[in-house]
Amino acid sequence: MSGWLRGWLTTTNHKDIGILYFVGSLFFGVVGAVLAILMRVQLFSPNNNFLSPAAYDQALTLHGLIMILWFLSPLGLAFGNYFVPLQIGAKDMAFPRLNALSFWIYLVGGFLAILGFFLPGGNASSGWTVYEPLSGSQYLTGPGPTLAFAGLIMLGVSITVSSVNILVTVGYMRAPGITWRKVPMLSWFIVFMLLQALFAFPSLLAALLLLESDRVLGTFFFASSSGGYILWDDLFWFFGHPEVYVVLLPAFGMIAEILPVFSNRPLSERNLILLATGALVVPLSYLVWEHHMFITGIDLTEDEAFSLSTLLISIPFDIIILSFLKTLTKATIRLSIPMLFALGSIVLFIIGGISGVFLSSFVLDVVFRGTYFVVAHLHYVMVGAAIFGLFGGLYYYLPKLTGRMYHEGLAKLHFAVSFISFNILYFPMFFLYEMPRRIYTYQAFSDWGLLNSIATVGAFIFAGAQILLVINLVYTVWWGRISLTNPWGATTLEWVPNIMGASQSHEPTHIGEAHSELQSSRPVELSVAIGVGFLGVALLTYYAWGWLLLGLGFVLLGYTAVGWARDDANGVFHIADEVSETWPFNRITKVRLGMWVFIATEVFIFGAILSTDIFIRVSTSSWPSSVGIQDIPLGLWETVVLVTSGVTALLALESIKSGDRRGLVRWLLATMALGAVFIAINAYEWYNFFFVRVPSFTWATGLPGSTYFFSVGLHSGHVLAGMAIISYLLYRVKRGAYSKESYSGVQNFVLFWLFVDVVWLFIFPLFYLA
Amino acid sequence: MLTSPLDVQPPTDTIWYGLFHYYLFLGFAAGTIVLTFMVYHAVRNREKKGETRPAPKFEKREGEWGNWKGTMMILLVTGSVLAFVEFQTFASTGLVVPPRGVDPIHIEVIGRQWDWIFVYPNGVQVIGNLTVPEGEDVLLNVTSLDVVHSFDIPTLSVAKDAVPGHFNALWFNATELGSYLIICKEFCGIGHYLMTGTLTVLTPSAYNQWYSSLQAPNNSGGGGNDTGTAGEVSSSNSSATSSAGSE
Repeated sequence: MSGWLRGWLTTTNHKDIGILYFVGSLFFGVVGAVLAILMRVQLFSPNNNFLSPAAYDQALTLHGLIMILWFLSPLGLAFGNYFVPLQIGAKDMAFPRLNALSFWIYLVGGFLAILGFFLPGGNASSGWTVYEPLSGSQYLTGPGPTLAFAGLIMLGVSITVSSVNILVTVGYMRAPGITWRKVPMLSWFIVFMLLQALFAFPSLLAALLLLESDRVLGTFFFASSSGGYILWDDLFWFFGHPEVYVVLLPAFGMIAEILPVFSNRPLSERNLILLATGALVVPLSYLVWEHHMFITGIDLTEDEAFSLSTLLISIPFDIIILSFLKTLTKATIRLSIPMLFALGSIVLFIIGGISGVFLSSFVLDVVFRGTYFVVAHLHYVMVGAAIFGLFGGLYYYLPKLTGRMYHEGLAKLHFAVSFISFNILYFPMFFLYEMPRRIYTYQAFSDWGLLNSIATVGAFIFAGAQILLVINLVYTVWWGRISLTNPWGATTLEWVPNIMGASQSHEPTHIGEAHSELQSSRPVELSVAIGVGFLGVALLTYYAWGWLLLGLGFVLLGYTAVGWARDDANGVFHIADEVSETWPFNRITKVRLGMWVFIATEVFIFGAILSTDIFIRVSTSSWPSSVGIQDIPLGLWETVVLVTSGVTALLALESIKSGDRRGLVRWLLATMALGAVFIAINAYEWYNFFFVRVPSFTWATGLPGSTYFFSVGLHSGHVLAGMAIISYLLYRVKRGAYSKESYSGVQNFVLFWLFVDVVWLFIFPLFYLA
Repeated sequence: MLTSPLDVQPPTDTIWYGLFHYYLFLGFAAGTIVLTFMVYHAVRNREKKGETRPAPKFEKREGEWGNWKGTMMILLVTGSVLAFVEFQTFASTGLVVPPRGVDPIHIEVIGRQWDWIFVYPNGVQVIGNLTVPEGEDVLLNVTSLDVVHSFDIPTLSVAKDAVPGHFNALWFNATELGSYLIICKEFCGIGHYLMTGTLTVLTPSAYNQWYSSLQAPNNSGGGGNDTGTAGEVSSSNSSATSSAGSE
């Protein structure tokens, strides 16, 4: 392997990862665009049969998934990775190796989703919303969809890991003097984006885990007639609506950076914008999800409540946009390329936002829902506002990324053609408000044909314009004229070379150099291991050798996990834990904060799954009494064992706090043993359910089984993970780690273990007693 | 067929378009004002060629909190506009809530991949063709045998999701004779685009005649529709309904 390739595969430097994210997301953008063009050709004229219906359905599904999740969200993360540490004067991310892991998991997950096209039966064809029961194995057969959904799980994990990482980075790694008030707008908006993602993605992850369990194991979460469809809608849209802002907020951050620089004045109402976003947009976005379900059969009261909350969320956006526009007054405006894109983004957002107010009305939504009006609206927001804002950011930062200036004329042409063709492409769709989305073809009545033809022509021009961007990128990297260090006269920290230890402008990253302490092959190995395992999961229902792949995945996973831990213990790649000096995190260490943020996502995952259990239980008319199924004394023993293990874990922590390393080992071993007893009782219970009990009680015999086995199984997985962490701690103790002064590793473990205990305290009464 | 203007607007259509015009007018006005403001300032404040840019002179607080009175004014104005349109929406729930005091004709609508089945009060099932009398309230109970569909009559501005295991109510009053398109507007699989039906509006007397012909034993006419018995359709779909294995 050449040093260059090895460098890119093993780098953990935030700038390198940022560039990887740029390249990766633009690659997926091209894939999504090709799918879009195929769809537009198919819709060009009535009764067209350019694609087969099956191919069209797959294209529309993967177009949505890839564009939103593998192109737009990671493009925002690319800016986050590269520029947030620079803007706040940090040397790197809080957890560089985890940062690399997020990228590679994201990439492998994306490849899995694309690989679905090449498996027998093709890819997922359920629409990007993956509505149930259509996406269950009963209606959507074949390994392709299972694989694509597994790819989605990897994407969710990737974004969650990124969220933890960047949030801790901004909380902990700010250079002295960079107070929260001085954190630049892009970094603020990336923080908002990731706060949004942190609590939205667990809902998607939970939903996908349940869906995959339905598809592979044969559980009944969504296949059931007890409201499985509405369960999916709720879980999905609780993720789905905040996801829109995950896509949008980085673009707003870019606009907020660009506007003041090119208006030659400070950003107007900076604090008001931050307040509106942080205090209104982010929390409110979790309270509007049912506006996607107005005609699904929810109560009129719910219709009204969610219509109102949706309307309320337009108020902070109103504040943001008007503040942006106020920056244009009393200004001297340079209409350079980044500024043109920023202004274009605002124009398109205004159109998209106003059309969104139409959709907030549950009465108007009766007609608009599920039609091209919605398609137009969402593309104005997601493609228009988000892409124009982010492309503006790309041009703005290109001199910083490459040290060279882009071709001005080509860039102007790119903007002009993009902006005009965008409107040719999407504006006609507002008039198609009676044409349903996702139809393969349509009859030759009314004016649908003409409007669709215009849109298709627009699509070709729009796609062509993006080729100009690619040409310009290549041109800039190889032939662009050398740019000034700070060509725009910006005042944020990332443009100031070599200040406060921040990495320098145009400084070559360490690709190709031997910085073994900053490089790790574990992220790539771990991602590939998970990818192989998931490929096996997707295939095993159809081909026996899928089991082989799954086994291989597990072996690789074990190998890399052990390697990861060993690297850590041996200091091959070790990040020093530290306490921040700035409020509000001056009391806990960096890793501990990371652990807390991680547990917050876990709370949401278990919250979603236990709510699912309760929902299913309430909406199923006849639920068997658990007394007849569960062995309550056994469950009680499990509870006692687990609670005791919590106590021993705390005693382990107390021992090391007073410097008693032998006590630490003793209590850790006790905790490990109690964990093993818990798992053993569990295994005995499962054995009884499967093989002794008549009739047997498995996850495939009905909803009580599905909910019980899934929830308890997921919890046991966490107990096993905790036991693996104990082994790691013991290994490190053996090598001399931990003392009276340094015990944060033990502390973090205890936090995790107690969380797992608490989850059981919810599971036990839910399944054994009620 | 979809957009043909009607002489007498159906009540649901009247409600919808009445509301739509408020939104359209205010949305258009708001968009125009904001975009004009933006373009005006972007053009007026453009840097002139050869002009040296003056150094920005701003008080510190201007960039941070600025003019809170102006903000409040803007919030008040936009808040009132939004409150007004939301009030109009709340006043238009007649589109989704059936009118009281009349006894509508009850028809059950069953969606399945990829057909609409209509079950009339006498239990007769017709596939693909919904026949109703002109000028009378009709109440549909919409459900699905398999996946989620969405029952949509664009001409009447009414739609409701068809979901398995649950009935959703939808009402309309067709005020003009003719036949109109019924579509499915929730993606429901490979035949989604083919899942269409026809709404036929007859005069009340013609409807009564047609309805009584439905009741005749072994009828094969029914206005040229596919007809069958209740048992026939549901048994052919039993594989879909019995799948859950949950209860």
